[in-house]
Amino acid sequence: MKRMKLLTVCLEAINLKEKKFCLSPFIDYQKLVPSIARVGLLVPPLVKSIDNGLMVISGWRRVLACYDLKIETIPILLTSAEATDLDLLVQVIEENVTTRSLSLAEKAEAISKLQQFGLSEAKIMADFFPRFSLPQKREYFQLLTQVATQGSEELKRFLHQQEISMEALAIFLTFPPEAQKKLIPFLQTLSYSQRREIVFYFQEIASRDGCSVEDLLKNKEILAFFDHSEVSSRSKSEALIEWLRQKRYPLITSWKKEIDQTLRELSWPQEVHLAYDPTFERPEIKVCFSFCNQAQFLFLLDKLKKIGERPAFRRLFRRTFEE
Amino acid sequence: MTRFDFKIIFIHKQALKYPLTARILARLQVPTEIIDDSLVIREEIEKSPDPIAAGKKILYLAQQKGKFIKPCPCTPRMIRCGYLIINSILGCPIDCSYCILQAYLDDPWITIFVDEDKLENSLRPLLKASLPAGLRIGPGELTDSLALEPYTRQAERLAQLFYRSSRTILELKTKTTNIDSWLDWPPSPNIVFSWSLNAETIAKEEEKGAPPVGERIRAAAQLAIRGHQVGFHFDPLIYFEGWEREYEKVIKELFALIPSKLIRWISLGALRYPLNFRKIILLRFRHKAIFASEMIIGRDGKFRYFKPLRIKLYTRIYEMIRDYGGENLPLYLCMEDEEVWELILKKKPERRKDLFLLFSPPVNN
Repeated sequence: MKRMKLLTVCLEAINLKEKKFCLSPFIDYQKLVPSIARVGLLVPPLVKSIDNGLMVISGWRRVLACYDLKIETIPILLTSAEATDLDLLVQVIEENVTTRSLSLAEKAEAISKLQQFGLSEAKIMADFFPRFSLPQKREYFQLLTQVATQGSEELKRFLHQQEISMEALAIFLTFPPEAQKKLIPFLQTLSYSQRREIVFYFQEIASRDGCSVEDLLKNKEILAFFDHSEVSSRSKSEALIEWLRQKRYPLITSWKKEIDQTLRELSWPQEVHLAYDPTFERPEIKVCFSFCNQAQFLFLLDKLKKIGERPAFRRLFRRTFEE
Repeated sequence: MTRFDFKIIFIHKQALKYPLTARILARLQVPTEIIDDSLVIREEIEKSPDPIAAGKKILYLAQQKGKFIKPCPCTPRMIRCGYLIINSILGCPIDCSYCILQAYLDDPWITIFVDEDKLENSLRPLLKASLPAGLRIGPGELTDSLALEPYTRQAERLAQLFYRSSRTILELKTKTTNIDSWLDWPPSPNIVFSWSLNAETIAKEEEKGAPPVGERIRAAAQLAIRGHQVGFHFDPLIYFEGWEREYEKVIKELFALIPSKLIRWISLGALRYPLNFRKIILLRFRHKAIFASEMIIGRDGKFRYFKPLRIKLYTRIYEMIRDYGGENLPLYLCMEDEEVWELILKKKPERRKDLFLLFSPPVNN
């Protein structure tokens, strides 16, 4: 371990433009401000001496919070001049992964920088993927490097704030930047599984219909989801998912609708629960109801018998398009 | 003749002593490397941007450490046909997008088990006269049975065993036209050559490295007219724009060249794949429309077409086969449930014996 020096320096000596070791695309330091205001800076940031001042290695939130509080001097740990960029980056990573979970955007940045500072793909996967809780898969390496090197600011910010499955991310990265930009606000309001769903629906509908995701986003019905300003973002996103689900599974959706329609037509009693296989693989239909006495039981049976004798009841058992 | 290019042959050091190793090396002039662990191949292949495609160019000659014969796992809750699989070659040089071997096999390269004596000893119990007629066995589930035949002559050796087998049927399932060496063989009711057929668009777009469907049918016809037993598998049937017209064209062509009385059986199976195959689609074929059809997760845990869609596909193909090929041709469904069997074939096998009867040699043989 190369020795570090504890010094007190003027905050202005720190060059905030130099972000060589910064992993976060967005540094949220506001929560730290009142803490430092109360008790001062407890842990000195790690800093390196460069030609035009000092460069932050780790401790960006602390430094920015001190700037906000207009603190003039702060304690710092000055790294050894012999430490290589790779040594310093490893220190940044270690300091962060031991105290919190890195976001996907930060993992991407760390992986890209490790490679940039000379580590091989195999070494990064072997030594750092377990530290990042990532499976040691080459496709993940490529994906995250792509995020770091080609991802837009919006994408990085989104990946810093939200989680998304790696499969969904792989697909999302194949969408053109403009399409990504349009979809990020929707993805932000949805749950982890819904994010996956929405990305897959866009990709699968585009593949099936032989169009691009961009073309799909020009669809008038989709554009309406972007325009409904009076509706909450979450409601809009959920409505968009439902619309996509129907587009993706038109047959299954229409069969389900037909069953609902038939049940309405038959005035199906609310107290009798009817369950059918939502995939329509199994032909069986189950009914379930509760009763407290013989009279209730016979009353419901009588009701169901009358429904069962109506021609529309047979529609519930439709198995082919021809029926 | 369908030929494939290979980049390298890895030989496990224990595989060096076998005659099949020598035969393959004599017929394939490609670089070789002797290894004592297949990890070497894995390391090599993982450098490739597409390890599955790269694996199709690599042969690995090794000893079979496990069992050579295994029952076909079929799929839960579906009617089983009792097929037995010969694990003599794992992997296939043809790169079909829908092929589940991409997810099923651990290794992306092609492994040839060269200990033929052990294979033959494993097969001997299946040659007994006491076994039920119509029991089928073949290597075609884990490889294309004839794709590597020009180099291995393994199918010929298997055929020699089954040639006089009293009841068990050896099925050599292929997409290739590698039949030249069989033309001079006398036919046997126990050896069935079968071809996977599909619509021409699907063959062209999804079966990279396989000959066009017309060539497959012509190869089958050459054997059929010489009295050899032939079968066909419309599997996977794929729902795409123009499917009806294109499948009809193939079926018409098939029966124009091969009279139905010369066809031992035809099977139908709609596109299906296990959940873990999704990772292959994402890595290799995410833009392919065939994987964006309306599919559900079936009772066997596999992605399948929405059932009414499957029934529509089967019904039309069944009608076409009956229209062009007549009513007597044995037809069966692969990995389908009782409801679909009854709707399409108007019957379902009550016992395995009923299915074996379907595959049994014709009476006039």
